[in-house]
Amino acid sequence: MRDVLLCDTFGYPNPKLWPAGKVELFRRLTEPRSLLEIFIFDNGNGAAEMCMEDALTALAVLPVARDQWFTCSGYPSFVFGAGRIKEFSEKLGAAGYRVWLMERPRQEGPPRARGKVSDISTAREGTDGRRRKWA
Amino acid sequence: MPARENANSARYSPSSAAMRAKGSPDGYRSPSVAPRRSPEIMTRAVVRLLTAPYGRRTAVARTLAGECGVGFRTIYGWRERYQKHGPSAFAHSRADKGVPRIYSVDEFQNVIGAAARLRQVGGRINREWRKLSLPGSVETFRVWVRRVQIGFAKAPWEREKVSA
Repeated sequence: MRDVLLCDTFGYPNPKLWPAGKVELFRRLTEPRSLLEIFIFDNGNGAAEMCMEDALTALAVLPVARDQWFTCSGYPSFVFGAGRIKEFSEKLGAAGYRVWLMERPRQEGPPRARGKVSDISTAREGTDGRRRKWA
Repeated sequence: MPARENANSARYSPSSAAMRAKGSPDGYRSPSVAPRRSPEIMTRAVVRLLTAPYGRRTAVARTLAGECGVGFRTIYGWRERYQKHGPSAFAHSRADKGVPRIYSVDEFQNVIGAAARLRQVGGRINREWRKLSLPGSVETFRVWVRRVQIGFAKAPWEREKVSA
C-alpha cells in the first residue's frame, strides 16, 4: 500500500523518456552492476544524490521528503545532505542492497606552477611612447 | 535537516565530473543474485530494461532474467505490466488477502467446522456444502475448506484488524 501512495505523491517521468545522454553516463559510471547495487553520488559540497532507478528504490526504502525529490532534469533524483549518507547506507544495507559511494576524484600531486606575475602599469611604460607616436 | 540541503545546494549533474567508486573494499565488484522478487527489484529490472539502448535490450533482458532467477519472457511480462499500470504496477496486492469476502462471520465458522470434520471424520465435500447452505458455489467452499486446513485462511473477524 505504501508503494501505491508514494508513487501517487512522488511522480516521475516515463523511463523511456529519460535523457539518453544522462542515462548513458549513469550507466558508464555504475556498470557493471547488479540489481541489488545502489550508488550514492557525493557531490562534495554537502549534498548527495541518488538518481534514476536508485531514486525509485530510495522512495520505497528511505524516508523521502517532498522537497528532496526532483524530476526537473528529466529523470528522478533524490537529493539529501551528505551527513545522512551513513544512515541511509545502513538502511539500504538492512533492506538487502549493497551501497556504493561515488565521490569526485581529488587532485593529486603538487599544485600547478604559476607564471611570473607582471605589473601591467610598468609593462605599459615601454610602449606608451610608441603608442603615442603611432596614434 | 539543514535548509541548505534542498534549496541552496547545487544539483549534481552526472555530466559535471567523472566519479569514482569509494566504497569498494577491494576494488572488485561481483554481480550478486537478487534473493527475492520484491516490487522494488521488479521495478528496478523494468526501468533498466526500458532505459537500455536500442539493440541491447535483449541482452539486458537476459541478464536481468538471470539475476532475478526468472525466465527471459517474464521480464518482458513485467515490462508490459509496468507500461499498463504505471509505477504502482508491482505494488502489493490487497491487504486482506486470505480473508473470505463471500462468507459472513457465522458462515465462516461453519466452514471452519466443516473443514475440521472433513479432516477428522472424512466424507464428501458436496454433501457438507449442501447441508450448510452457504453462499457461493461448491468450488468456492472447497477452496476455503482447503485454505482452512492448510492454515492459509484468515477469519473475517481479522478483516477489521487488517483494515485498521
